[in-house]
Amino acid sequence: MSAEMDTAVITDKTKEIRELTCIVCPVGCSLQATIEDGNVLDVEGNSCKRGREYAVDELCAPKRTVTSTVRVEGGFLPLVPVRTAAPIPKEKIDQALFEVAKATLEAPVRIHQVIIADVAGTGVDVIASRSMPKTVGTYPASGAKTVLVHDACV
Amino acid sequence: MSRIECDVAVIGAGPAGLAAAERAKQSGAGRVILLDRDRELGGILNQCIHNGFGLQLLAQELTGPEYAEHFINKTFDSGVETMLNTMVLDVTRDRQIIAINSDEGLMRIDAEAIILAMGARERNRGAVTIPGTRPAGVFTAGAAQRFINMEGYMPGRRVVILGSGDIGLIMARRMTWEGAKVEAVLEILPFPSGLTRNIVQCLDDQGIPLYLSHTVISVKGEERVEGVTVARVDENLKPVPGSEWDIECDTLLLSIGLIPENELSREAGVELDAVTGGPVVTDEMETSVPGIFACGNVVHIHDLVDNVTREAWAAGEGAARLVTGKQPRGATIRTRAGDGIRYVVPHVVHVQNLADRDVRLFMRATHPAENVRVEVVVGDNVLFSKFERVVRPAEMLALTIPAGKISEQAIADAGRRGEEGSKNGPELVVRVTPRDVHKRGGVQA
Amino acid sequence: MAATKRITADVVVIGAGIVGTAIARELSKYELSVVLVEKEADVAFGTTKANTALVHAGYDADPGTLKAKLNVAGNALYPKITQELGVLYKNTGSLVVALDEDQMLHIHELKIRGEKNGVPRLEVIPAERLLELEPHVNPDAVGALWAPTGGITCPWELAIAYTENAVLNGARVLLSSPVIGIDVHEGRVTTVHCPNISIDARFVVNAAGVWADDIERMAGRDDFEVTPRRGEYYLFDKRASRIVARPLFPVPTPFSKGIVVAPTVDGNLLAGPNSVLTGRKDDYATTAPGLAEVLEGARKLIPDLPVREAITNFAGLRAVAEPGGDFIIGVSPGLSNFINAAGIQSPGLTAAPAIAEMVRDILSDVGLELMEKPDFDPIRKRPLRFTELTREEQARMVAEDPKWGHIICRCETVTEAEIVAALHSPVPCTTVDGVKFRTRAGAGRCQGGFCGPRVVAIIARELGIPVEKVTKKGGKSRIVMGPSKEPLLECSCSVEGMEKEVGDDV
Repeated sequence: MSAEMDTAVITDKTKEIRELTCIVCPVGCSLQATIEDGNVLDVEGNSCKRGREYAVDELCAPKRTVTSTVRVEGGFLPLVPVRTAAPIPKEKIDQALFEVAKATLEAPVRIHQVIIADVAGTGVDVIASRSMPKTVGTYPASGAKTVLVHDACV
Repeated sequence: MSRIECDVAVIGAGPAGLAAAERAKQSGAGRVILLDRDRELGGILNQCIHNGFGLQLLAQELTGPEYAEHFINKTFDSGVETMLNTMVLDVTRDRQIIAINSDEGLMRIDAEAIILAMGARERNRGAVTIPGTRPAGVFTAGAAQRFINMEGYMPGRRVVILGSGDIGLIMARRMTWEGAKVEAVLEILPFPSGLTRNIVQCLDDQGIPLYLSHTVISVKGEERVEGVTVARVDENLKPVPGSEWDIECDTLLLSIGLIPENELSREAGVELDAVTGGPVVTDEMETSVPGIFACGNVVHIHDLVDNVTREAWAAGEGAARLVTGKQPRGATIRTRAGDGIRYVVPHVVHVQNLADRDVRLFMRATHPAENVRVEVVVGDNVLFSKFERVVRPAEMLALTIPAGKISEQAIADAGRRGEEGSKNGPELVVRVTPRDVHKRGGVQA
Repeated sequence: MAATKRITADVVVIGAGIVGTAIARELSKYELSVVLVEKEADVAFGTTKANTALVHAGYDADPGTLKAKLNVAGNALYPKITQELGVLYKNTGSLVVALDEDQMLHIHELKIRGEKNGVPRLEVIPAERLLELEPHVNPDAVGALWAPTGGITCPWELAIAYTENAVLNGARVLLSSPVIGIDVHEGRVTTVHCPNISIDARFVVNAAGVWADDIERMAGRDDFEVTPRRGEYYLFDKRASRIVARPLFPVPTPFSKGIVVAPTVDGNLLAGPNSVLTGRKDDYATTAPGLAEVLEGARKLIPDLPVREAITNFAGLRAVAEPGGDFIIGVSPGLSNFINAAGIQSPGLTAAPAIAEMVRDILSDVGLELMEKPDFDPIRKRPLRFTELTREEQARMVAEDPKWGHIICRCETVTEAEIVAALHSPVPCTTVDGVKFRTRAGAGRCQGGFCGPRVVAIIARELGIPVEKVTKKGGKSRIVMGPSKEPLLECSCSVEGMEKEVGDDV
């Protein structure tokens, strides 16, 4: 949606300049993309090459990384945070969120374990973004000494 | 009361504490103890399940828990001892910590060096005075984030968010993605407080309206929030009569800023900076109390965790240098925020360090500006500068002065001429100037 | 419809604010069955939780009024009562500050009035002495009235303590029990009806605060009207408290004692109240103009009031009864066993212990036999608070129960043990606000931002209820609205279902 909301400046009959903010990293570069017949001819304002890739993607097939949580049984916490292993097409986000909402897991979970393969038919997996041990006292998996004690909120 | 002795005790195991403890250990400190009141390491990162962490430092776009796990593993591998569910009750000037947990009871920890890494707390409703009723359903964004991401509960279904800080923006998307309806985000200032990328992907993407120069003037509902009255504000941030309207909602989230958590620092007698709300520190990240160091949000509010980690490394190295007898000696020079800069951290720099190693300064701009140079000035000499295409108050600026760039001689010369800041001797002034001014002298980065 | 339960009582006390709880405790000294009914989910949830928390010396009220008499009498009872009940009380003394010579005249009048009321040791002091006592006071001040018997206490703590002690001595408390009807037969009240219970009563005491006129009307009488006056307050961080050592009053107006700056027994600083006539009995909303008025008023006394240290603001309602404006304490005309204790506005907190004794005597006059219980125990032990223990005691407590080593509220240093104890106390609380009023968890500078979710989890666990049933203050004040994911799954029909194996490690 952001691309549509950005200003479009018509420079001549076929060329058009779109202004958008790069969201690849926190720098947030202001990009000016020149488009002709739906093709991105040129991108200016980016301070790295990922900015150019972002502008092309955003104008042709916008993608986002989806982050959420999945319910886990028998874990140290009731939820495991998850994310898509790569950005997925924006129009697939609702379906991906629905699949994530339906999912349940059993502890233990390892970081980057695949939780849902090929989410919403995107070819991208949903992966765990942290480890989730079974019970209090075994975290972290490396087994180093900790003092893990009774907690009301677990 | 049990007694523990250690070289370095680190209070708070969020991103700052983790990195500081690990680095102190790696830099030669003997026994390093990391204390945290929560049930696990990682601090607030555990509930920040969105991506965007680690781009600068790890060259990957990680979520908060992934970033945390990376540093948790490093901390364990380094041999740092950790104590969880442990609350520090008191810190004294002579580096004595009183702490408590359920297993060990009360403990007295005597440390050669203490690193304060308690982070920040959120500003709440009382801090900004939002009139109206006091029903359930008013949350700080962070409390709502904990409910939804850690505990698995919906704080509400129809949401208005006050404040365009990053946590608020992230929560706007998060709640939308959990099926709630976010009606609006209101920002009292004429520009957003959060990162632009978050405006784009958290609000624009979700079709959530952002009202700049608007605020909540009243909360309605006796038991649970039933709505809020909002209004436009004038240039003095006062509501404009006649501009108000009501938004029905069951939840008001507040993302109106963070306050460095310095209750322990105060008790220890650490000098605080009125602008940052955090301790006055040297480039070793040492506070006004010798042997007590600080890093992360306890010092000043960061917007990027990568910078927190960098600052924490400096604190860890500083503490290790203290306990190994390698602290820099000799003259120091104060930093000062010049034109266009709200504050500079650290407040004091060792002249010897400027010669020996890269020294990083963190600062914030007072207002948005484009195509500027951020300059480091001593006396009337621009000794170092860096071009910035855009500076925004919401985005912290970092300036690394390469080793040897500013010589002892240059500082001594400035001191002799007794110009700017002559009262306290020479100062390192950081200022923002338009790109084309000050071509004379100075070294361009 | 399920049959309502029916019980009998010698005395039903309606309203568990400071007045009703003081009366219930007073009556629990005798061989009587006493039932205290309260419409809110906890005691002290009305006017008692939102006032200036002052123990007034008693120079304000017009001589001869009930207010004047009961203020001075109540004040004298405070040291003993608070000691018996384990409630914080500090005899700080109080000051009325004159900012010009005209006000100084008024100060002298107040002193004369106070002396008529029987207030001991009043003294007019010069500016120099005032500045010695209160260095932050407005330097324009020309003098003050010094009332050494003034003090501060914690109103809800006292109401909770009264109730607990009454329960310990046999009284019964029904919370979340609004009175919905009162039966009258031949000039006597016979039964008090609540939604789930009806109480056949020999005597009824109406201590229903701002709702007292509505209660009296249920019994068929219409002798007075309560017109609530809202007062708004700012509460400041503990860091700000050292700015005053004792309550500072401005010279009063005919309507109000004015906006006060006072320390609280818990170590905060309080400023307020203003005085606004409101048409509603549930109007606890603060307003921008009201809060501005409070700051303006407070700054007249303390010009460098640390406004940035404000941690919350709130409003309370004064139960002003018309006609007369005085306390209405006595048998309701035409109802021989129905006693009003109504219109108890300021100095109601101070007067409450004396009101309780007066109501007891009235009940005795109208036929209630008062036989002292031989085993009455006047002592209510103060709940242990971590912050009030020495380091050695803290260490010992953790060794006994690990929950003492688990700090839940970091601002006020409240342990899990204290919260669990409050949830299982003689008058157990069931809400987040109830926990706050009993333990101070959530009452500090972050106002529950940190401990809120943790307190909710403990309440759910201890009461054996789902987290989504935990409320802030009863009724519909739920903290969370059900498990996450539910909203998404509810509207799942709009998303094409795509079944997939979950949890495969591909």
